[in-house]
Parts: sequence; C-alpha cells; structure tokens
Amino acid sequence: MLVLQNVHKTYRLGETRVQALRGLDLRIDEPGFFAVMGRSGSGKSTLLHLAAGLDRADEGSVVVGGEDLNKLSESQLTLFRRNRIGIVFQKFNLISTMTAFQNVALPAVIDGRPREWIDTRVNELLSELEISERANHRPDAMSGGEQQRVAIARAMLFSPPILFADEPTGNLDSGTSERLWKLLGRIAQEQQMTVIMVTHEPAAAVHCKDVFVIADGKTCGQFEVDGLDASGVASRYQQLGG
Amino acid sequence: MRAVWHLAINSLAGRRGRTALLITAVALATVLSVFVACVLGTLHVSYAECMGFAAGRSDLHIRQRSYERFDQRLLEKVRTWSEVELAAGRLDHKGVTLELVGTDRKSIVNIKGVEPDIDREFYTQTILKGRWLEADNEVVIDGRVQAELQTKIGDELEVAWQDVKLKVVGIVEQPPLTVMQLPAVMTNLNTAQTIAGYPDQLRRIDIKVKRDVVIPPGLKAPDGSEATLGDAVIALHEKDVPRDVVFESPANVRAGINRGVEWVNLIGQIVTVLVCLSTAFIIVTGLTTAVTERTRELAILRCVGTGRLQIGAAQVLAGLIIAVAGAAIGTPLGILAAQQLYHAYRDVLISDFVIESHHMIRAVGATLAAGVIGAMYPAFLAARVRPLEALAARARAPKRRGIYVCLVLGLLCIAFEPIVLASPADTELAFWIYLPVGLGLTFIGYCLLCVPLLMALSTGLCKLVSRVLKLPVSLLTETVHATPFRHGLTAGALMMGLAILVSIWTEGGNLLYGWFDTIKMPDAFVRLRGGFNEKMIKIIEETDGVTETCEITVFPQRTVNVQFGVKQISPPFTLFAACDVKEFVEMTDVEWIEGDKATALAAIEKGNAVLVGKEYLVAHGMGVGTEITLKATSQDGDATFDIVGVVGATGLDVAVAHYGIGKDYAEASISTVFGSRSDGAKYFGLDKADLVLLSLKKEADEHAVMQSIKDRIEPMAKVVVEADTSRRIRDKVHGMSIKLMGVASILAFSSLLIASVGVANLIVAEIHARRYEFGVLRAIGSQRGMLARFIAAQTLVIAAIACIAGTLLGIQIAYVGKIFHERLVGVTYGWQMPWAVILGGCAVVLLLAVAAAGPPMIRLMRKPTTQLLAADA
Repeated sequence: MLVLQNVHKTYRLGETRVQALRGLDLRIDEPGFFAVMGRSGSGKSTLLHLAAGLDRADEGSVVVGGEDLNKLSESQLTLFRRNRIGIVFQKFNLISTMTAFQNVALPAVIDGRPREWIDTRVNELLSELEISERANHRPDAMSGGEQQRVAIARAMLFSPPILFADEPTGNLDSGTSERLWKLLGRIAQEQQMTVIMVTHEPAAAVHCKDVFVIADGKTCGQFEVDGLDASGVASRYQQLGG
Repeated sequence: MRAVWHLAINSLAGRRGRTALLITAVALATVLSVFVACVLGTLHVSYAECMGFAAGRSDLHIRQRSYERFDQRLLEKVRTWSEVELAAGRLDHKGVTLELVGTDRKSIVNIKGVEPDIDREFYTQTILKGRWLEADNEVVIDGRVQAELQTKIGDELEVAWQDVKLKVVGIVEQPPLTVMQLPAVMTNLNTAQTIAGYPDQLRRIDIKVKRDVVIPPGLKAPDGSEATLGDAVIALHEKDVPRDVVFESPANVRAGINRGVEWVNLIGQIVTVLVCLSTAFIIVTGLTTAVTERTRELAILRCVGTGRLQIGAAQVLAGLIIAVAGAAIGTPLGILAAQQLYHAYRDVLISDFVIESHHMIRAVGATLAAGVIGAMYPAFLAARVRPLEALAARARAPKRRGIYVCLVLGLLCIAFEPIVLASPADTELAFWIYLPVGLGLTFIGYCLLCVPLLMALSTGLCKLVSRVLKLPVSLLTETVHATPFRHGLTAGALMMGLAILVSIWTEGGNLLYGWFDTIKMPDAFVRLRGGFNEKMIKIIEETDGVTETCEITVFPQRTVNVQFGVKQISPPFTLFAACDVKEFVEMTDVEWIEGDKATALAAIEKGNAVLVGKEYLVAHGMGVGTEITLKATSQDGDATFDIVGVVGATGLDVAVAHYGIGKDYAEASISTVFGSRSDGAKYFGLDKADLVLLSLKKEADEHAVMQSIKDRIEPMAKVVVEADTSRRIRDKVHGMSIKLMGVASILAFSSLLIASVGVANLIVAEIHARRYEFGVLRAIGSQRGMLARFIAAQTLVIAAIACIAGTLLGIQIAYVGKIFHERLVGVTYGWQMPWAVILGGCAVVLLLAVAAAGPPMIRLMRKPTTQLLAADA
C-alpha cells in the first residue's frame, strides 16, 4: 500500500533551510485506519504531502499503491492524485464558488466522465455521508462538519485505495470531530480502504488501528491502538518519544 | 474540453461583478474600434464612388497636363480613331456669378459645358424636375443652386458682367461629396464656351472604347494591374496627341483612390493596434488579479488532479469568453454610434452607410485576439500554481526578479524604434516597421516600465498621498509594494489615453505653431484660374494699399529623382513656381539657407537652374551643386535643373492647398522649386501667371484692398477672383487644425474611459482580497472614511504613475513623429511642450481613476465589520 524508505526532504523558507524529513521509513501493507502522530514541526504533514504526490522527496523512495512517485512525471503525478488517492485537508479546501454537488463532482468533470456517471456517483456519496440536503448549497452556507464531509465525499469519488487526511478535524468542535473520526473508521472498514490520518490529538488516534509516531523528521516507532483510550494513546505516544 | 469549459465558466461566474467589469471594458474598446471601422469604411466607399462618379462610365479621358484648356479639334481627331465608339467633349468654367433675373439673389457656380446628346452616355444625371438640355442658353442646375437662388423651372438667370441669359429647364441631383466645391450648372458646350470666352476650347474628352478592341498581350496598366481597353487605346495613340495633353485611364484614378485608401487603412490600423493593446492590457491585469486572488482555489484544483494544461487552457478560454461577450455587446453599439454620425453628415457622403467586411473583421478580430493574447500570461501564472500553495498560510513577497524583468524588457521595447531610427535603415522602411511593430512595442514597453517605476517612486508618492489624505504611511506603502504588478500594469492600461493626448497636441501643436506659424507668407494672394492678363496685373499693382506684387504660376509637377513622404501614400510631386525669382525673393524676404544669392539669381535667369525649398536639403541632402529632375509636360523627356540655392518656407504650398491647385489631393505637395518664367513655359507650359503675391501697406485695410481688387478684376475676367489675406488663410488653417486635434483627442478620452473600467476592476479585486484586513481595521477603531481614503490613495498612486508614464510615452511618440517629418518630408520645427494639455490630461486621469474606484469604495464603506471579518483570512 504505502512504503517510504529513507526519505529526506528539505524546505527553503526565505533565507532559512528547514530539514523536514531526515531519513524517514514507514510501511503500511493493509487496509485500515491509521494515524500519524507527532508534534508541530515533526514532519508529519510533510510525510503526507510526499505520500499524496503533492511534493517530491529529495532523497529516498516513496511507493504508494505500487507506484514509485519519484519516477512519475508531473502529468502522471497529476493523474495519480486524481484517480489513485483521495486527500482531505484541515481547512476543507472546497471551491467557494461551487455548490456541494459541484465540489464533489469536480475530479470527475476534470477527468471527462459522462454526466450520468457523475450524477449517480455524487448523489450516492452525498447520501452515504448524509449531506444530500446540502447538495445545492455553497460552502459559506454549510457548517464546518458538513464542509468536511463534502471534502471526504470528493476524496472518495473514484473509490481510491488510499485516502489521506491532514488534521481533518483541526477546525471542528469536539462533537463534530468525534463523528468525523468514526466516519473515517467506517469508510476504512466498509470500503477496505487505507485511511491515513495525520493528527496531534490522542482522541483522534483512539479510532485508528495503528499509530505511527514521528519526531524530528524520523519515525520513532509504531503501536497498535487495540482498545486504548485517549490517555492510553497519549502515554504510549510519549513513551515512543513523541 | 468539457472540463476546461467548466473551469473557465466557473472562474468567471464565481466573480460576476468583476467579470462584468472586464466585459464592459472590452465592449467599450470594441465600440470604439467598430465605430472607427464603420466610419472609415463609409468614407472609403463614398470617396471611391465619388471618384467613380467623377470618372464616369468612360474607359479613358483626355485632358491638358495642367488641367487647362485645349483645342476642340482634338475631339474631331479622336472620333476618327477606329477603336473609339463614342467621344464627348466638356468644358468646365469655375467662378461664374449667376443672378436670378428680377431679384438680387446670386450664386457663384461652376459652369459645365457638355454635349447634351452624348454626355449622358458617360454620366448619370438624375433629373429631379424638368428635362435635359436641348438648345443653346439652357441650363440644368443642381439642388444647391436651386436653394441659393430659390429658382424654378422656366426662370431666367443672368451671367454677371456678360449679356448672356440662361433659361432653367431642369434640376438634377447634387453630385456626391461636392459640399466643399462650387455648385454646378450644366449647359451645352457652345453656351459654356461663349460664357468662358473660349470658343472651340475644351477641358476634357471622355472616350468609350469599342468592346472588341484587342488588348496587346503583356500590356500592363501604369499601376501594374491588368491593362484595360483604355490602356490599349493609349498604347496605340499616345503619340497622336499634342505634347501638353495627357490620357487619363481608370488606373490613374485608381492610383489616387488607392493612396486615399492607404491613408484610410493606415488610420484604421493605428486605431486597431491601440485598441487591441488597451484591451489586452485590461484583460491581462484583470485575469492576473483573478489568478492571484484564486491561488488557493487553483492549488486545490491541482490537488484533486487537474492538469496544468487544463488550468492554463481554462484561463485562455476565460479570456476568449470575455472578448467574445465584449465584442458581441460592443459591435452593435459601435455600428449604432457610427450610424448616428453618418446621419448627421448624410448630405456630405454619397454612399449609404457601409460596413466594409475587412475593416470589421479587423476591428472585431483585434478584440478577440486581445482576449486570447491578454489571457496568455494569466494562463501561464495559473498553470504554474503548485498544489502545496493551497496549504500555505503565509503570504509571499513579490519576487524582485519579476520587477527587473519588467524593467529590462520594458526598456528594450522602448528602445526598439529609436534603435531602428538610429540605424542605417531606410527611413521609409523604419516608418513601415514603426506602424505595425514599433508603436505597439513602445506602448508595451511603457506599460511594463510602470511596474519598476511604481516601485521606484512608490515610497515618495505614498508618503505624499498618505500625508494629504491623513493615512498611516506604512499601510499604503506596504499595500502597493505587496502587489506591484497589479498596480503597475493597471497604471499601464490607464496611461495610454494620456499618451495619445500628449502626442497629438505635442506633435500637432509643434507643427502648427513651430512650423506653420514660422512660414513667411506674403500679405495677400490673388488668384485667377486661367491667368491674369497685363491689364489685370496693372490694376492690381495700382490698387491703393498695395506696395509690391509678384506674379507666379505654380503647379504640381511629377518628380523623377526624388520623392517626399512614403511611396505608397505620398504622391511623387513637387510644386514648380515659375516667376521672376529675383522679384519674388526680394518681395517675400525669404530666408536664404544655402548658396550665393547673386550667383543663384543669375544662374536662374540663364535657365535650367532653380532654387529649392529647405525640405529638399533636410530630407534628401539636395542642396547647391546637386540636380533635380522633373517630368517635362510640354515636351518629351525630363527636365533637369541645377540647384543653385536653398530657401526657407514661403507659404506657396499653403496657397496651393487653399486654392485647390492641382485638381485633387493626389498631386498635393509641400515641397517647392522656384524657376524662371521661361523655364516654366518651356518645360511645363506655365506661361500665364494665375497667382499674384501682394505686399500691403501696414496701415491698409486688408479687406478693403482685397475687395477693391475683386471689384475691378471680376468684370474683366467675368468670373470670381479669389483674393485672400495670409492672415485669413492662417486663421483658417489654425481653425481646421485645432478641430482635427480635437477630434483625435476623442480617441484619447475614449481610451481613458476604457482603462478606467480596468481600474475599477483592480479596486474591486483589491477590496475583495483584503476584506479581512479591512474588517480588522474597522474592529480596532478605524472610521469608514479612512477605508475610503485608503482606496482613493491607492487609486491616486496608480493614476500618478499613469500620468508620468503617459506623458513620457506621448513625448516619445511625438518625437518619433518629428524625426519622420524631418527625414521623410523635410519639415523641421522647434519643440514646445503643451503644458496646459498635459496638466489637463493628468487631471482627467486622476479624476477618472478616482471616479472609477468610487462605487466599490462606497460598497466597502457600507459593509458591516462582522461581514468583513467573516471572510477567509
């Protein structure tokens, strides 16, 4: 599913160079709901960007769904993002001038799918995620939770084997967040998808199968959640150096 | 393709207000472009039809080289040629005064003597009332004569100073484009010859050639086109006519029309280029602003798998949609506006309102091209957006490299034409490069230069404006520095109108005040077509108030070894002034530039020597020691003259233009050659002086002197004598020139109006992008008025840069014009800046810009603070 080996990535911020990943290794071989945890600046978001094909590693290999992303051309990477993965962001990142329906349908329109296929699939997803009544509403007429569900529907449009979520509940209240984590877990189970969520919240990781701990641009370790509660997750996280 | 269409529509529909502004700007530009195209097309067709009307249905004309009279026996000879089916003679006699018998109503007319039985085979005469000519002393008048005399069928008209009465038997439609000419009456040839006092004389023979005449293979018309039946007859009988008589085939007429068409096309091209550039810049700034604003949205699109090409193509399609919408709205409005103008001038124009397809295609095509071209850069920017930009929280400072690129590219574009002019390239080639390429590059260069100019001057400008409008200095400075391209390119679009205004009034003003006003003209001119006799000259000399006279015969002659102006447009003629050169030089006190005066005058007296105007020296380096060759018209071959002196401008060319000497514009010239009377007669048949220059006493009443001359000469000449003071001629030229510059200024103001819509678009985008900031400002205690002053301040900074760049651009255009005048035409003039126009233009730019920003400014002031704060940071 996902194999990162000895991955290095450095960013330039103005005059400063920041080494975000320093030889990170991570492997996920099966479907499920996984969390990547780490402090701010640990490199977890960078890991997600590389795995989702949003950026390229300076060194090492990034293989997702059997594809070595470093070997793909720009246009191949674009198609990869369109068809092979789904991405959910913290800030929802919906197009403000499009309705919920149009936002979900967007990748299919870009891909040139037939109208009938788009209509059927989008309505199906909106119904599954319980936001059908918002189909004709723009983002500014929806709550944060509803917007995030629209974003998830968009990410699931082509039933990708992998779905990445970057702090998906960062802008939501606790109740809505809880519902969203459960939703992601359900999707991973029912659709046999690999859902990888970047988070710094132990309460989020409780819903996951495994947790990968990142610190200082490297993987510190991994543990099974297996019935741990939030404090249990926090404790194990700290033990691994998170 | 559907995806690209979907993205393009969504990007436009998502910002309806700004899309509407862009479409409005493009529509305004299209209105202007289409308006000019329709006006030019109608003028072109009208003129061509007029020339066609003048040419009639003949295959060929015969006329005297200087448009004077010739022996009627030639008509009999022409009728004997086997190729001729029909030949008709005509005699025109201008300046005849007709009085309606029993009244004091008069009309000064052109008497056209025709052969009634056959003239209508050549010219269509639409009889509105009465009948055609049948006998001597009958006239058919046109509508203008009827209106002036209030005459009707059966009335009698008396010819002034002659015992001749004419009976009105018919009224015809007024000929086309004749509002500037004398009204006409037609009578039979016999009667016209009697009135003119020239029995057995004609001015023109119209010929119809038999259709079965064989055109020799390989024969070409003079302009290189396919030979006609008329050309075939010329080839056969060129040597059978007297030397001073010429054939005129349709090709000659066509050449004249073609030169007019070239001017029309030139004007159309310039307007199209300017409007296209203006439109392209508005679309560039509008769409680039939208791309910058939508960076996050574009990044999201990239994240979900939209290709770069799809995003770029969507931008180009958006530009095309804006252009198509703008053209769809602007085209009918432009046609409507042109139609209104047409109806206002209906009586001057012959043709119906015409939409010439190639003009329209050019006008609308330019708009569409501008839409696509203008969208290229935003498409490039949009396609470059990286997916991670969706996630970036920090704003990015504009790259300095881009500003340096604008500086270098801008300077290169601006330097293009000066480099071409400084190179050894032929000036005519430089002119033809300038029009389609150089002028456009110069505009683009200054537009690009607005960006570094803004950065260079913004700190000082922002401080000044902030102080005046009581704003925190750093707020305005940082805003401008954050988006230099947006502000700079908007200033670039705004500067065009001012640049056009400055260039028109700088070049036009310098030509008028720096060249025309410096011409030393004699105090007055008297002209009699056909020439003065000795008695008339004596009368003029002895008129009270006249101190000196000089008789001249001046007529355009074809040049052989030199041409002024641009070959495709300018006729190859110069004025030959035959006179007593010594008398002329002394009377006019003309500026002597080169050569020894005594030697020169002696050489001219001997013959085959001339003085030339300064234009020859300036444009072609032809001074003392060189030769000028002209086509002789009263003998075979060419006439070559030694140039023995160079003199300054004398105003003869002005008089020639004023009196319409040379029949049509095709032979107009501002270069003059002065030779002896004997050379004029020998080579060009200029034997009788038809123009007299006068010096008047300082205290003389000019009007009274002129009237006295007319009163005493006209009864002798039996036609109207034209007598004008140079003061009156100057006033007339001034009036016309100012009017023309005023009309051209409309183009400038239209361009400003179009650009101001671009300013509005920028301000709307700025407000939208910074609404959260404005919300914070309001939340911490800033008054609404401060927000309004902030927007006004931004606009003023943009307008100030536009004023500086526009003035510099206008000056450069005017200066290039000065160089072309010097090198192509030999006209030199001083340099004065039209400060009043520049300052006035700048004031208009500032006001228009602030006015354009008004509505979005007011909307911002009305928005509640919470609504502003609710916007995405």
